[in-house]
Amino acid sequence: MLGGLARRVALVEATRSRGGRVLVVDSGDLFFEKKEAVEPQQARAKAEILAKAYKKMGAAAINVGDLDLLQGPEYLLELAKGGLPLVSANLRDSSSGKPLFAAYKVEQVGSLKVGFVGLIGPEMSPQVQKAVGGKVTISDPWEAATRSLEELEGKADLLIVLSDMGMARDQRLARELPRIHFILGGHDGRFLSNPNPEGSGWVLQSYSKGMYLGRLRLSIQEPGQPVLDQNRASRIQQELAKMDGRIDAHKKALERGSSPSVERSLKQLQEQRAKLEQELVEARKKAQGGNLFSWSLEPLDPSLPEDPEVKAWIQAAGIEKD
Amino acid sequence: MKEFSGSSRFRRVELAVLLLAAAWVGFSGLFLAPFSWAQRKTEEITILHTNNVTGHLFGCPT
Repeated sequence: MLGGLARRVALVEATRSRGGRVLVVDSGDLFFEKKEAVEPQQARAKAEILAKAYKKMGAAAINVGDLDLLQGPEYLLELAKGGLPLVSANLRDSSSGKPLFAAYKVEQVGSLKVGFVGLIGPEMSPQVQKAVGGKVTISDPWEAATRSLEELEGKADLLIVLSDMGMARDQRLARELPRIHFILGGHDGRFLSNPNPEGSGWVLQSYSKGMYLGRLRLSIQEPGQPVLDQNRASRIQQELAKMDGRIDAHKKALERGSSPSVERSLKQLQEQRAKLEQELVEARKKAQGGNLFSWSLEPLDPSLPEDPEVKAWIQAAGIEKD
Repeated sequence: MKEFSGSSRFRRVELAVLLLAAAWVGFSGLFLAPFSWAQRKTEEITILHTNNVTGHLFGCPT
């Protein structure tokens, strides 16, 4: 078993108590699940506990995902009124055309300003469409992202998109808008233990159902400049070791008898290896200074303590399982 | 033979100190500016992230 809200809150508070600056964010699809058979009363009771817990953790920004609209937009607006920092740059009220939530939030962290932009994918499932009843419109996420980034020019040193658009769209967005430093994504709930480089930024996801907590450690020396993966060199070394194994296997196959396809494949592997060697030299040089990050997915295993207050909230609501 | 007065000697020392200070400022500006990053403060931040929690309050089987 992995996960649990009380465990997540305890881990966040333990991280904070060790000192340092900690920001908590969510990329969307936080409150509700897709299951048809969930009773609205139970779903709302769970959403309210989640909202309280994210407030207790001092969440900096929470992006609105499509599933968050399953109890209607009014319900979500009520949660936001209670002090929950919901963001969405492309979710609008259909009748007025006005944004439902703030497009972004800027957090001052020491001398650094961190901007979080919220984006939702352009399609709504029939279930979500039924729940919103035509009251909300999703505008083009590319246009919304471009506008928000322009507005954040000079207001934020680090630009982070919280996206509920899915991996493929996030990768495209990072390539097309190179000012973005990180896309903390979701919607498809991928397990990304290694950071995914796209353009001059990175796309990250923290799996699903709250089983893991994504930990992005940043060390910023040159605000506004790209941030590099400090573990890139060791990752390349691992790739090189794997590649050496494959090269040896090809060589052994050729010792047993010549084969044009194996020879071709060996040549390709050797070329790839040479490129990786060059990348390793570059990565070692870059890891000496400037802006660096490390990324890890921390499993919330049962050995971790639980926050007693959150546990009590769940018990008081009479909720025994998801 | 002309002798230097106390105040004139003082002015010479003052002038020398000023020249040395100006030379040092010029040297720092010209040669140390490219290395100013070395003295810039490094900000350390941790961002803790979740996605697709989908209303889960309890742990899930792996």
